[in-house]
Amino acid sequence: MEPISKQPAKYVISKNVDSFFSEIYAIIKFIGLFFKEVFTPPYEPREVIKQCYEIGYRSLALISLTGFITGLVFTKQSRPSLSEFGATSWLPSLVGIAIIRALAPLITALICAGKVGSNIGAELGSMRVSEQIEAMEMSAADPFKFLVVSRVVATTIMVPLLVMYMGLIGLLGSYVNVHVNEQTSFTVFFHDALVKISFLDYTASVIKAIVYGFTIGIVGCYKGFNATKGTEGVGRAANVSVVISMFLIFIEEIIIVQIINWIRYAG
Amino acid sequence: MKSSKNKKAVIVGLFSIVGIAIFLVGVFALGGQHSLFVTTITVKASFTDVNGLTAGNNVWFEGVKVGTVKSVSLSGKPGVEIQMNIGKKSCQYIHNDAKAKIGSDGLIGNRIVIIMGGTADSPVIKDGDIIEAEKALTTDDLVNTLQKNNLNLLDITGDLKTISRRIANGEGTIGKLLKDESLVSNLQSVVDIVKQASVNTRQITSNLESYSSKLEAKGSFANDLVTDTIIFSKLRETVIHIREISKTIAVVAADLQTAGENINDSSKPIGALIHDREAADNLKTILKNLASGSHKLDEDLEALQHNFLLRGFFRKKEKEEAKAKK
Repeated sequence: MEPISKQPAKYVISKNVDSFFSEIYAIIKFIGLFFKEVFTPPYEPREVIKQCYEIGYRSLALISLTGFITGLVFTKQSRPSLSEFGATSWLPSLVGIAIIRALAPLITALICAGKVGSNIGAELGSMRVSEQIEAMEMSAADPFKFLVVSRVVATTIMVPLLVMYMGLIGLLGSYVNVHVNEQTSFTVFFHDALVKISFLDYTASVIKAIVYGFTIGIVGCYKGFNATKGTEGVGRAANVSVVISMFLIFIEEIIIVQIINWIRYAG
Repeated sequence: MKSSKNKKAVIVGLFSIVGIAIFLVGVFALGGQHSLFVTTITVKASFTDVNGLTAGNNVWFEGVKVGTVKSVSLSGKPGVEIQMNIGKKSCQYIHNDAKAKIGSDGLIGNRIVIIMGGTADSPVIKDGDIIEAEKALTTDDLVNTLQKNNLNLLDITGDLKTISRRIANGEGTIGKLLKDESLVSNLQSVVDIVKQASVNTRQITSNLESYSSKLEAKGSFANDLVTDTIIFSKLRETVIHIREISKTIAVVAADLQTAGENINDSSKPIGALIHDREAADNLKTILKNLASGSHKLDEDLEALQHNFLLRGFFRKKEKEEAKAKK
């Protein structure tokens, strides 16, 4: 696939408007190509596994630490408000709802957008500006399949798994605080944490994680794959990947929450 | 290089399996809590007001969660029909004459359906059964009751205001008590009397105490009276005798009364003797005649002593009497 840096001789509306719509078209084309290539052999399982390792396993420590601190701090911050009503026994439910419904998918996605998105953008951008992608094309290898599909598949698989880890470790962090203050048992804490969670909430979190993973992968790959202007373009690709991924994650969060609420209250 | 790739594959595989395991544990934990993997039956109930009950709310029986609300729908008839999924394991304890009502999980918790009651004689519930619904106390009912309480409170405070104003103006007993100083001195004297009475009471109490201590002292009459069974039995016998004597006295009194009545009755001889003037005069005459007769008899006997036939007998008697005196 060619980079989108070609300048047309004559603009349809104006330079900026034309470039905006051209960008939209290029993104849609990029996503369409991904869905075409992902189901078309030959597959690149080794590259997918390698990317899963880099994206998933290498992010686990960061996700675990962030998740534990999030659960712990969220519980600590919520305690004073609930103690005013003598409702500290509701902390597990509150933390359960907060972590499983919102915090686990969102924080994991934001961390991955920062760590993985920038990494993909920078990696593919440097390959583009150093003409390694063109070299792959010349050697009859499919750079899109090898570089883009493997990374997007890896992020789409690994982000939901990281969300699972994050949820569990976040609840453990919350449990530590609740146990220290209320001596609540492990069984009771997890029972109370899940008591207000419905299957819809759980499914919504998984769907959100899949969407976020796909977004992080596709944005990082698109920006890196279409990087221009040398080493400056590499940095720019990494930076823009993170910013756009995060922006899209928030937009998707709003849309998915709205859809889930429609389903919840329609049922 | 190949070994490194294998290591990565193993780590990714392990990482994925653990992640999927966490996901599955979550699924089963949620499924267990929402009874998704439990075979259930559907039971219906119709309420006039469900107070915001929604599908997915819990169903409790005797404080134990036995199922969830499947659907809440407006029925054609007046009221709202709810369908509940109840676990088959719990069905054996719920009888079809049980009643359902809408409650809440804690003071501000979710709405729940509470199934209660049911007799062992009735058959257990089965799929499609309808249980009777009981009207629950709604927030509006509580607010109405509170409103009534508020009105009552308003009346009470109004009355209290009137009372306190009258007291402040020195009206009524309490007002006078506060304002009138003579009442205070009277009260003081009453208090003195009460104080004196309490002193007397204390003295009486001490006397009673000493009496009771004496009563408890062994060998004293009072103690014997209370504790000695022989004395008690003798006393009882005495009482019996007194009772018998009183019976006899009663009989005698009755006889005396009869005699008195006879005496008063002029038809009876004694009555006639007392009440008939003619008989009294006759009796008087008889007595006079008897006195005169006895006087004459005395003279006759004196004369007889000097008669020659009996003179020897009397002289002999005088000599024997003189001898007996010596």
